[in-house]
Amino acid sequence: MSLRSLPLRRPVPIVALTATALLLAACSGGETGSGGDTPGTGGSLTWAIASEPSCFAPAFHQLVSDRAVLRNLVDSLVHQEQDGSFTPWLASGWTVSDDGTTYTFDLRDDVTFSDGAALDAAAVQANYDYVRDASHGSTYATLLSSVTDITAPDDHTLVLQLSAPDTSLLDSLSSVALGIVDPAGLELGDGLCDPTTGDLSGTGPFTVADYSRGDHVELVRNDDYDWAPESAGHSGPAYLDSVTYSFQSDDAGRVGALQSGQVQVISGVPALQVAGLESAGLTYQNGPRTASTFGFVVNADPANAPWDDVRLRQAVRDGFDLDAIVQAVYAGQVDRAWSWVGQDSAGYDADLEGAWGDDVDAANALLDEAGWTERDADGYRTRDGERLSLAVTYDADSVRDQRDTLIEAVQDQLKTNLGVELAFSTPTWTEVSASIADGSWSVYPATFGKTDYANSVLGTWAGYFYAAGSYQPTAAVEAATTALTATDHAAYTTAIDAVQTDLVLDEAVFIPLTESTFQVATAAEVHGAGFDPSSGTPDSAYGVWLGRS
Amino acid sequence: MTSITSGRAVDPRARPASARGRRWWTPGTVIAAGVLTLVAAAVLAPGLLTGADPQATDPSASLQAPGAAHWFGTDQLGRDLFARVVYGARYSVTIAVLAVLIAVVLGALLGLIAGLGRTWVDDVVARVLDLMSAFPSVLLALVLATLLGPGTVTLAVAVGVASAPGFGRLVRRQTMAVRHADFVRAAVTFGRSQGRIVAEHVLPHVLTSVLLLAAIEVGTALLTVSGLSFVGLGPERPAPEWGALLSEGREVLTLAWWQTVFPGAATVATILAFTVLGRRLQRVVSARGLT
Repeated sequence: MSLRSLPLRRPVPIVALTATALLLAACSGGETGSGGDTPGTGGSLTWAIASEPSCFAPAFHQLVSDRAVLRNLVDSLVHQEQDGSFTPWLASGWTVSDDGTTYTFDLRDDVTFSDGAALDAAAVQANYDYVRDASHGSTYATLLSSVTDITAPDDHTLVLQLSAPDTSLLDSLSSVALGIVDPAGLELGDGLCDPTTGDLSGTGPFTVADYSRGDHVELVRNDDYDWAPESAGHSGPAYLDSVTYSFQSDDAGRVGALQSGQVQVISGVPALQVAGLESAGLTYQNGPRTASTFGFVVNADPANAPWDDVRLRQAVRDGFDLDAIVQAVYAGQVDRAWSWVGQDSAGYDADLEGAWGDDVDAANALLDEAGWTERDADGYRTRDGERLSLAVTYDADSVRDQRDTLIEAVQDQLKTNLGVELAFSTPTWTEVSASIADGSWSVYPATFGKTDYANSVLGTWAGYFYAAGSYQPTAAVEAATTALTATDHAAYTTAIDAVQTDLVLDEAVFIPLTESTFQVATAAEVHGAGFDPSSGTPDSAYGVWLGRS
Repeated sequence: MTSITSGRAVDPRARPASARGRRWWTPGTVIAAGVLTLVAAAVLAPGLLTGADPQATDPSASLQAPGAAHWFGTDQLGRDLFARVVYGARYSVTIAVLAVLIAVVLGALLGLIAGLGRTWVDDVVARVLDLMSAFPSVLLALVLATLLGPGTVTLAVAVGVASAPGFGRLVRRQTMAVRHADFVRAAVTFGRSQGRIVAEHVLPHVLTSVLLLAAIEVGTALLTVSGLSFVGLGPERPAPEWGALLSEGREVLTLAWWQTVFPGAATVATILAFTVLGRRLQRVVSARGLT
């Protein structure tokens, strides 16, 4: 067809084309920054995340995933490195007294909040004093429970006095939960959760520019930022002009948005989609295995009889082939777990590897020994006419990453291998939490996130799951107490090992299933995305830059 | 019976009461009947159709494509998909049939109350039925299922209650028509009790059209049941309800098309079969003048 034969009298398609082009330009947020292979300033991108932050105030946020967004807004006193060590951040250095109960921090003198106020020792003191005062209702008051007194002898010196040595203190101080905000906003309490009021002012590399509940939050660069931790790899302000976190709860939807170029980064990648993403030229990163693992928390209290018999719990733990199940469900993208402690954590006890699991004969012998020798019409073991049944309740909202499929596989193997019924249901969290509160729960499939393990044994295990009954994992609680107040590394390691041995091997109140990690996938032109060692979540956008695709 | 037809005024929209209109067997109905026979077999005796256990996992046979060993392939855990679809019929179809039964009973009750009651009773019930009909039945079932919680019986109740208004309005209309008929007036004159009049005269008249509607409604109910099960309001896992199978398949859609296609095809085929047979039944019955 020659050019002349085109119907020139119809301008409509041209207008439509122009509009489409404009629309496309508006949609592709990933405008190139430097366009090269070296980091360059400029550009903006959209980052799709599964859940909207529950709250933007560090002291009141509730989801671990919130920290990936909040890390952009607030800094911490110390920075946690990939290897679990701690380096200067807002504190340029610190000393610990010989008895381990006095921490003296020297603060940087060049740090300002995004509202222009200077960061000084009094500001940090005000933040910590606010959080640890239980009457303020911060979720994280217990992080500072060992602190008895905080003083600011001068503008850039902060002294923390402890009741006893606390091995978890630096870990707590490095957390987003103890991120520092301008004390002017503290009195608003959880009113600071809403970033649109403008009262939330941190020292982070970005500030909130626009927030649309249920849709997105747009952050813009803090041009004054010049106090990144040394391991960040660059100094000064962030590379990106702005980053927009878009809230997209549907896993497949996020993957599709990345593949089609609507977004440049996504957090939370289904294991089975990874192969497809990589073959499409997108970059996939699995985060550090520093969080506590995903597994069955089993109630060993007499209220959950007959499962107060440790032989039954050990039999269930060893009655299935976890390696094969995890491989089938996650196609090699998720690791099976050996302990309650993540494999990349400093306290991980590698001795647990191979020490339990997939020993069907031994498991059957334990069940026979416990008197469950009869079988009913469905092939399940019985004793005195009662079926051997273990109820697993998993609140429907927490089910993710195909963990229900994983549990179904365990369910079938326990039936086939042992004749144990696993009754799996997904009620509401209201029901599940009520049963935990009154001690009538049986098994809860849990992951505790990135946590200080010693603290968590006391708070979550002794203080939450076993608060109502008479049972306590006594050995684990004692070991955790020892670990928390240990003054040397060897004593700490021994104690944390003992915690894992007790929970997994001796008591079998925790049956590890999979390592729990966060994942990030990025478009080819996006560089520098990583993970924050203090929470295991995707890191802030500080090191992210746009280059050649 | 056919003689009645000749005395009737001809509805121009209706097909002529030819032999074709009255005939049972068309290619469509033969296929539909075949499908329903298979479905019935799956519901009543699934062991006849497959020797595999729908719950038996085999991680080493994960996500195998359809073949001689597994006609419909396997899912992530290596479960035989054909067995899961066959055993799933028991959940999907039973819940749908149960839902329609609930809808029929509830609808008939409301319709009779409205049709036979005093004017104000009729006004109230009819408005309630109108109101419920104005509300999309899928949405209503979704709300009810959410309130009642997931489970086999609660799902049947939710879908049943949500589709009751259709039956209610039908029964009310039919009852209204019958209550002023001469034979009913006669029965009243002879002092028959209201209960006997309903049982002997009203119900038999209403029944045919209710059953015809019910046959078609099973298909609709099946769709709603699968839909709600898809979003997690169905029987507890690992029950292989068809909607739940679709939901599982969605997660591996890019890797294993069979896990979505076969349960989906089973659902569509069953719904079509119920609808085709139901419509045929309606046409045959109206051609023979039974309503």
